[in-house]
Amino acid sequence: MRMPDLDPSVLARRAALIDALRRLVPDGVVAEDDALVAYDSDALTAYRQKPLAVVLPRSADEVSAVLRFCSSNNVKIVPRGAGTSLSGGALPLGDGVLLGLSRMNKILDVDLENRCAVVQPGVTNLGITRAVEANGFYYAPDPSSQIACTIGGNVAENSGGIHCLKYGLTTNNLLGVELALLDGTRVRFGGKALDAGGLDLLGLVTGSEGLLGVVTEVTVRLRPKPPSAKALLVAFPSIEAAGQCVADVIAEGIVPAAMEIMDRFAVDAVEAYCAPGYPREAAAILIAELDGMEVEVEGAAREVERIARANGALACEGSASDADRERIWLGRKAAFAAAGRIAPDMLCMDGTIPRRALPRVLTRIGEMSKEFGLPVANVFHAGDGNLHPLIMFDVMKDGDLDRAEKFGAAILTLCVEVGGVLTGEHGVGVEKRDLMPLMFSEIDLAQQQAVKCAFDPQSLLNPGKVFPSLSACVEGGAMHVHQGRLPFANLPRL
Amino acid sequence: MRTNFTPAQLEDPQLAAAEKQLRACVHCGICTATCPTYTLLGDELDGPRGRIQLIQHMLETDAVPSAKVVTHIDRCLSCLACVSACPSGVNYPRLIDKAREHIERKAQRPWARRLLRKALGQVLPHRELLRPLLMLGRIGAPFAALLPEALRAPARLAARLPKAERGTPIAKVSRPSGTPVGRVALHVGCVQEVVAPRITRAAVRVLVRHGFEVTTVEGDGCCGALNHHLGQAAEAHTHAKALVADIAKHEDDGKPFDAIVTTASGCGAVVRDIGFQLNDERGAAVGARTRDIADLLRGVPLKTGRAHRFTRVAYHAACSLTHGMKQAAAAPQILRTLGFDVVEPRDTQCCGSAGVYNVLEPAIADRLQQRKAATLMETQPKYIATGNIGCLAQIAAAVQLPVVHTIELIDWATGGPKP
Amino acid sequence: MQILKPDTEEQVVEAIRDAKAPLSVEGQGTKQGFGHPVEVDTVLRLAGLSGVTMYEPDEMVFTAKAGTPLAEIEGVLAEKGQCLGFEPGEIGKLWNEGGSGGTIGGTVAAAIAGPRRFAAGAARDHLLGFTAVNGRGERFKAGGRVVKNVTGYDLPKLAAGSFGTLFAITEVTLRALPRAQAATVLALEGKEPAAALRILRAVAASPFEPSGLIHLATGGTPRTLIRLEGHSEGVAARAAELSKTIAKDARRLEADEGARLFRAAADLHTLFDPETTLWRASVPPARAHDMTTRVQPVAWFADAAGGILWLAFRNASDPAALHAAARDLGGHATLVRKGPAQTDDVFPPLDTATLALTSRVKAAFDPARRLNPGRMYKDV
Repeated sequence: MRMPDLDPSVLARRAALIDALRRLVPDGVVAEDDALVAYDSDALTAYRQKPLAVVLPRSADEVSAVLRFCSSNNVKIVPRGAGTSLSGGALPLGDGVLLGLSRMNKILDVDLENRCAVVQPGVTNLGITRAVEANGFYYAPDPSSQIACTIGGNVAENSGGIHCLKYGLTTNNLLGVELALLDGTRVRFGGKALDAGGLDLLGLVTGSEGLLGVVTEVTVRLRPKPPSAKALLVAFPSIEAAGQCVADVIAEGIVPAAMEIMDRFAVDAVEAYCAPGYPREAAAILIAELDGMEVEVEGAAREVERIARANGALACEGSASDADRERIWLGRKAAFAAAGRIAPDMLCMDGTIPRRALPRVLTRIGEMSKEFGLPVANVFHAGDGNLHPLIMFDVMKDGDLDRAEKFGAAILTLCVEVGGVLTGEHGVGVEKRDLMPLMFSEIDLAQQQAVKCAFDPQSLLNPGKVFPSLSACVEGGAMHVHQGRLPFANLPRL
Repeated sequence: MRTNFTPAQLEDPQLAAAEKQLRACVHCGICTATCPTYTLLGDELDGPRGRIQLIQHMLETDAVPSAKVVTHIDRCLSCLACVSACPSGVNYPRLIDKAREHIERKAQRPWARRLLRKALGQVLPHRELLRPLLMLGRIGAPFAALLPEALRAPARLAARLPKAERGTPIAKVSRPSGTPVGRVALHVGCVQEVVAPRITRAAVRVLVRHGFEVTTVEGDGCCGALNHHLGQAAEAHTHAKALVADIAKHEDDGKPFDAIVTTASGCGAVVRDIGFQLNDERGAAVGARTRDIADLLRGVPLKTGRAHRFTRVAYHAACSLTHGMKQAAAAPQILRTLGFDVVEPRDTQCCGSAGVYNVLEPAIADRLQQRKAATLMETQPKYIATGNIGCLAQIAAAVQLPVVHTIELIDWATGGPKP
Repeated sequence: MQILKPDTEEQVVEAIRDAKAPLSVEGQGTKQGFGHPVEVDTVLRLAGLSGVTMYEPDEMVFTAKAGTPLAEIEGVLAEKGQCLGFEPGEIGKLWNEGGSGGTIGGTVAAAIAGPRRFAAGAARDHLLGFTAVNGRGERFKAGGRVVKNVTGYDLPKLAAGSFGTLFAITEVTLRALPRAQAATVLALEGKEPAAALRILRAVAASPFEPSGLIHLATGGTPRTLIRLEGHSEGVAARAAELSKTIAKDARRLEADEGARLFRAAADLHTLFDPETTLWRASVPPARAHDMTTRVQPVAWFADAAGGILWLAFRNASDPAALHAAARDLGGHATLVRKGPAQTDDVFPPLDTATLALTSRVKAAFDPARRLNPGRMYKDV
């Protein structure tokens, strides 16, 4: 993976820069070599790089001060929440400041009358729900790392989760952000009102992967907690049947809160790990969760069961209690960990495809698993076609990581071929950066990079992520396609 | 994750065990959310995942860690909340224990801190030294300002510690009136026996009352847990071996104890792991049978009175009981069965006691203590109950109502004195 | 006035690339009254790019050329029992009562949405991808055709509500939603505004999943309407529960009447006297009543439980006062239908930094300011 060239003038000034940063954020700078190892990656450990220094501000003013300083000293910045990105979104740069927002973890305002909460970026996703659940509200997007990941990171990545089938991604649940721009200025997009005025810059910065600014405050929409929920566990003789069932359910106008499919490999893995009691004879299982008023949930559950039976379901059981529902979910939620017991390392892919392509893509992934000689477990958010193939490998074996990455790239290429996209919720980061041309033409990418220039004319915010090449911004924020290309330096892979 | 140890390094069984855990970690970061120091300080270096990286680096390179790294490793409470949270099943104690030893061996802490750690390791496990020192501490506390910084806070803390008490003597073996329903060894700890001897006495009463034959065991007076957490491996092993030997002595007649019972889960968690620490089968056999007293009593029909009924008790689950021994479910369940009105606080994190942590890291410990006290008090209890002497003393110093051991309430409810 | 009416995307590329002077970009031109007038000699009318090019009912997604009439799209979707989830109305008739219903491109570019946006999201939330030609005359695409997609910047969000100031949209890909099997509208009549809005907020905070929460104070007896949609059994249960709790004494409207009222709320033009000046304000819902008391509209309609207010004034209102009132209450206001000869701020005034950023974003797409210059802001 090639990363931007190290800036020798920055490296040469390291000591002075660190001194200055320590003055800006007292007691908030990590620069010791053997301490920086703890910050050398996020949850994508295939790539590692120690940052120039880590800065941990405690306030938006400190964030602004650091940005202003970096901008005037031409130092790159990589923003970081809890470091749970699976795409390397927070991979540090050797000549860049890693700006950690985890200390800004206060809930500033819970406004139940306006059904929103105003929080600092380092508050965890689940922390928001914890703060409001006693009042019958919750924050809907639920990425699987929700206990740890921060809302600032969620905004940067436009995180999803199991329940976004019904409730949408982060972008659909945000009301406002405060964003620190590269020059330290802070701007507000939206607020407690339903809409932001002017151009929808709130929508633009959501999911911009830390390339446009640093989120310093977030206003999220709160939803009333559904009074009841029921999970259905359905066994199918084939992946195709499970996929068709999902399509039929949605076409009927039923909107389950979540619909997840696991293939036999994944089922076997979780059964070995935590024995949730999934039917072992199935080629695929579907978990559908319905929520709302009880009578409605029961009605919809009957409908889903009817559709499932029509699609040849081998067995269908509904949760009888909340504990039972949790048991049904246990295996799905443990899929990642369970795969970890089979192989020490894994890559989690994240392509989204049109639902009808599910059978074809899954069959092909099975074939590729043989070709690459690496096992793969398929778990996916079937309702919205978001696949999470878990490629298992052993990083200590020569060539395994390389093969795993090639396998991953092949899966994503296939996703794009069938009309899908590279990433449904994990972000491009460094992981899928070089695959962007599969989806976008040079002009498409240049247009996106021109937007970056509008926010970050110095190309200092998280460079080396999302876009397969760096481009210099020219005056006025525009950018020429064929000029100013900067090569990436090679990042040694660990 | 990838590791880079040499084959020679991996010949050390403890290093090999550590390497295995490093391989299992996938760096997902779920653990950080449950770590008291991370949630308080918001620095990766103060969370389990970051510490694991620091540890990996220090063990792989066998280098002298920087003062910065030592600070962050030292801040770990060993509450093991991360172990319960970890989806990949990383056995974090294998890493933090090894790191503490490594630091103890390689790094040079400031002299006052070294002195303090040394002193804690030497004094606390010995009742005859601790007793007069506690007295001295109370007298000397006003002069704390004269001490070097690292010693000031502990000196002040000494003033807040419970007074040393003398417990009534206990028979080596206590027998029930009829045929015993079981034969257990009751571990008598070091600090607990000095500051709250009433706990062991209550335990003996409850056990005998319910038909157990109780043999007290104490080795050389400490199980080694304190030294273990200080990275003082040799001292820890000496204590641990003595305990294993003491237990074995009473089993030489061929009648093994049904259980080794602890009333301080801080000890219990370490004793359960004693086999690995000593790399010894007899130790492993002791560890496997080690149970918290409440866990032992779970299946026992208790003879309950009425006077205590509906008394509201806020129960603090000690981390060593929850995450270390994984036996925390029993105590609140028993208390409820007995008729207490048991409430549990919102804050389920560590109270900041964590062995000698409150002495070594008073600033963090105080914040955790205050938060814990606040969330316990908002439940408006009559008593606060817990199963570990460290937590008991830590919480008692921050609240104005009786903080008792679970067994004291069980004792009361089954015919013993009201605590 | 020259009107360019391309039939193909290539012609759009040519028109923009070869433009010597700024262009006014429009679909059918129905909403030209919305925003500042663009003073140019040439109009780029995209109505010729018409037709649904992809529709997969199973996937609930379709692609249409930007100039496709909204009504045509609704018809195509209705055949398969589907609809646009964000319920856009034909609001072009606000300015030209006898006019047509506008295009899908214009609907998206003006971010039009009806009462269902409360539950299903606005145009931005339904636009999955688009193709457009930027001010440099380059055709580009963004987004995709699947709902869950975070590949690259979310330019579809930016496109929705950009009023043709950044690029000329040539094709859009949107989600379709199945039409609800059943709908019930509960009505309360004659409620005081504060009480009515309080009830709507209570329903919004309840788990009854309303798909429309409006209060009409547009003349006659004020009406507070709660729409519930879904499967008949569930809708009935929710309606029953609501009438017992939050919305006591609510009357269940005849299906036709309920549908008619919500259609009117989406279309808007039938609600307000054509002579009035019309504003749209978005404030935190609990401040809606403060807003109406402060600015004293002659007629108004609250959508989204007060989150959106449509405010009509008899005389040319004072824009500065309206903008200030909305801002003070934590929101913003937009002048939708101007009084005669009004030229003041239409869109909410931006602070210096945001305005500068907005200009730079404009320049990123349209550096020479060829497309709808000044429609939203002076330099945008």
